[in-house]
Amino acid sequence: MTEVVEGMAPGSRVKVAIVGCPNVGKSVLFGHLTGRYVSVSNYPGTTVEVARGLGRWAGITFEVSDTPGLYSLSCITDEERTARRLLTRERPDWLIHVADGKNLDRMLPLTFQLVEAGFRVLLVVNMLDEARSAGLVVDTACLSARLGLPVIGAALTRGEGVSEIRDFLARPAGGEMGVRAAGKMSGGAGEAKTKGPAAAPIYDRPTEAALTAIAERLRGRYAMTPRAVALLALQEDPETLDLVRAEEREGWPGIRRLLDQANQGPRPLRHRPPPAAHHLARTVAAACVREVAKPRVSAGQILGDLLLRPLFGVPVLAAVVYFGLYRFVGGFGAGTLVDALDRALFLDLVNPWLNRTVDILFASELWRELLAHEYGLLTLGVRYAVAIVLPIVGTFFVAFAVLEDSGYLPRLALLADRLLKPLGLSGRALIPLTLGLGCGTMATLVTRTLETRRERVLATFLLALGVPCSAQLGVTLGVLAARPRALAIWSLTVLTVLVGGGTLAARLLPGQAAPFFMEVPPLRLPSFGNIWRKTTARMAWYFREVLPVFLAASLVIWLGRLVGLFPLALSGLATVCRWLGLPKEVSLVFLFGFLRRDYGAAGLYDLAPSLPTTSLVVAAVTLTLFVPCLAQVVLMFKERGPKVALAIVGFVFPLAILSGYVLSQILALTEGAGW
Amino acid sequence: MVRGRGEREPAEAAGVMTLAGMRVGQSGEVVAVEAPDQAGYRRLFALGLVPGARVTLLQRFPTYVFTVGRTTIAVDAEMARGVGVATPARKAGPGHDGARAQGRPGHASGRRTRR
Repeated sequence: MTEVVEGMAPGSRVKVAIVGCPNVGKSVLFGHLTGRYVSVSNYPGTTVEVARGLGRWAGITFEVSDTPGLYSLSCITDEERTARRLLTRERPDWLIHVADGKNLDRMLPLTFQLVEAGFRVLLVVNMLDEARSAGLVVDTACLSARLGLPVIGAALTRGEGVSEIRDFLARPAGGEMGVRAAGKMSGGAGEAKTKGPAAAPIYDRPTEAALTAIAERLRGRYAMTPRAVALLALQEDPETLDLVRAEEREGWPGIRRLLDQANQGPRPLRHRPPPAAHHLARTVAAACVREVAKPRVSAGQILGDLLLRPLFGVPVLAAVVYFGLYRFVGGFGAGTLVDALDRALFLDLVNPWLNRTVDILFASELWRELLAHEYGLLTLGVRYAVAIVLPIVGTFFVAFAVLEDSGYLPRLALLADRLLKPLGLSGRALIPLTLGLGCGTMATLVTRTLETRRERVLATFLLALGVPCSAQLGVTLGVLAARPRALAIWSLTVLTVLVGGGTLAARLLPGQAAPFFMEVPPLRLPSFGNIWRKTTARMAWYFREVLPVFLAASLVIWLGRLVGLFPLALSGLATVCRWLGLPKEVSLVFLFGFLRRDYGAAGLYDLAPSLPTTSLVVAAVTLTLFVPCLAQVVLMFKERGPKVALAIVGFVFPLAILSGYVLSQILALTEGAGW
Repeated sequence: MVRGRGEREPAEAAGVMTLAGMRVGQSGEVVAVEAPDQAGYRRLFALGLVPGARVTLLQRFPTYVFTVGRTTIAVDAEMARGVGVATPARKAGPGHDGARAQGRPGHASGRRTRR
C-alpha cells in the first residue's frame, strides 16, 4: 500500500501533516516541530485554520502543517473538511496521527481509515503521562506489531517523545519510508519499528463485495486508494459523492446503482464499516494497553464532575462572570489600566506632545488634521488602539485562556445547551458566543466549529446583533458602572433583544434543531506559560487584523471631513439621534461605531460625563445592538456569503434603532412617573 | 463480524433500552444506534457510540453525560434516544426507567448495525 518515497537527499523538503481528534495535542507537537506557537486549548475546535510552519533538523527541511480536529474521514464539520482537503490536495509525505493514549480504542479507527486511504502514517500515542496516572500502561511495540505501523509513545506537553519523532522523520526506520522498514530504531518508550503490513479492518462479506465492486469501477484520479473512496461513497459522504460523480462521468450511473443496491432495505451496508473498525480498534487496544492500577480519583476530577451539575455549576458560572468578566476585564482592564494608559499617558503626555510636534513639522492644516488633533491617525487611531482596546481585549483574552485551558468551557456548553435550544443553537455555540465577548470578528471565524449551516448563520447573527465585544463591553461597563441602575437596564435590554431576536431568527430560518454532542475533557490546571503564549498569539492576531482597520477608519473620517461628506452623514444620524431623544453629539459616536464597534464605544467613553443617565443608556443599548464593526462585517461576508451577510445587516440595523427607540420611550414614561 | 467481547450474550441482558432510559450509574453495552440521517450516524460513530462499546451513564440533567470507554461525553436527549443499550439484569424491573424517559426500547433492534 505504501511505496518508497524517491530522493530523500539532504536539503530536500519533507511534507508532514499532523492529524487527529480534537484536543489530543496536535498543536503542541506542531509547536515542538516548528518552534512556532499556535493556540492550544483544552476544548475542541481551537484550530480552525491550517497552521503551517517550517522545521529544520538533521539537515532536512520539514514543511509541517497542523490540521483542525478530525474524528473520521467521513466528515461532519467544516473544520473536519478543511483537514481532509489538506490531506487529499497536498498528499503529505508523512501523516502524524496524534492519538490520546488513554482512549486508543476510540482513536484507532481514524488510523485505519488513514491507512486504508493509502497515506504513510506515523502513530504518536500521546498523553502517556495522563495514561499513567489513570493506571494504564501502553505497549507501543505491541501496537506497532499489531498495526504494522511505526508507533511512538509521547507526553508532548512535557516534551517526551519529541526527539524520537524528529529522529524518525529524519531517518524513517533506516532510510526507507515504507512501513515495512526494518528497525534501526532502538527500543525504549519511543519505539518505532514495524512488522508486517499495516492493519485495516475487514468488513462483512456483503460490505466487502460492494466495496470491491465499486472500487473496480473507479477510473478517475483520486488522492486516496479506490477502496477508501468506495468506503466513503458507500457511507454517502456528500463531498466524496460529488467527487466521484465529477470524475467518473459516464461511469457514475453504474456506481450510483451499486450504492443504491448496497444501501437499500432495512439493513443498509453504509452503517457496517464504523462498528467493524471500532471492533478491531478495541481488540488491538485490549491487547496492547494494560490496566496496572485502579485510576486515582483526583480533586480535579471531583470538581470537574461537580461542575457538570447545575446546582454547583450555575453558582460557579455567576462567580466566573462576576470576577472574570466584571471585576477583571471591566474593573481592572477597562478601569485601572485604561485610566492609566489613556488619561495619564496619552491625554496628558503623548497627545499634547504629538500635537505640538505635528504643528511644527507641517504647515498645512490638512496634514495636521490627518496626523494629530481631534481625529488624527496618531492621536485618535493609535490612542484608541493602544490605550483603550489593548488593555481591555488583553485582559479578556487572559480570562478566556484560563477558562479554555482549564476545560471549563465544555462544561459550560453542557449546562447551556437547553437554554440555547430555543435560539436554534446547541450548547456547542456557547464557545463562539463567549469568545464574541472578546472579539466578535474572531468569534465569527470560530463559528466554523459548529456543525450545521443553520447554526453557523444563527450564531453569526447573534454575534452581529448584540454580543458586545470586550472593547465595547469594557467601555460600556466602565461608563455605566458608576450608575448601577443604568447598567441593569442596559444588560436587561440587550439580553431581551438578543433572546427575542434570536428566537425570531430561529423561527424564520428553516431547518432542524442543532444536535448537541461534546467531549468533556478532564479538568486541568492551566499553566502560566501557556496562557501567556496564547494571549500574546491572540493579541498579535487582533492587532494584525484590527490596527489597520483602525487607521483606515481614521483616514475615512479625515477624508469625510475633507470632502464634506461627513457632516452630511452626521446630519442624517442626528435625525436618528433626535428620534431616540439623544443629543446630536452622539451621532458622531454612531458613525464611529459604524466604522468600528469599539471605536464607537470609545467615543461614548469620551462623551459619557456630559450625558444624562437616560441618554447614556439609550446610546449604549443602540450602540451595542448596532451593526458590528467593519472587520466583523467583512468576515461575515467572507464566511457566510454576501446574501446571508446582507440579510443579517439588514435585520440588525433597524432592530437596533427600534430597540433604542422603544427603550427611550419607556424610560421617558417611567422618568415622568418619578424614576 | 463478531461480538465485541464474547462474555455478554443477549440472553444475559435484562433488555434493550435507550441511553436516555438508563439510570444514573447504570452501565451497559451499545447494541444499536439510530439517527435521523447519515450525518447523525457519523456523529454517533465519531463519539465511539458503536455496537459493542461500553457506556456508563453519569448524569441525566441538563444533558446526558456518560462515559464511553474512558471518554466522558455529553449529548442532548434527542441523541441519547438514538442509542440502544443492553444492560445486565438488575433488581429493578426492566422497562421502568425506559418508560419514564420516553425510551423506545423496541425500535433499536430493527436497526441493528451488526450481523
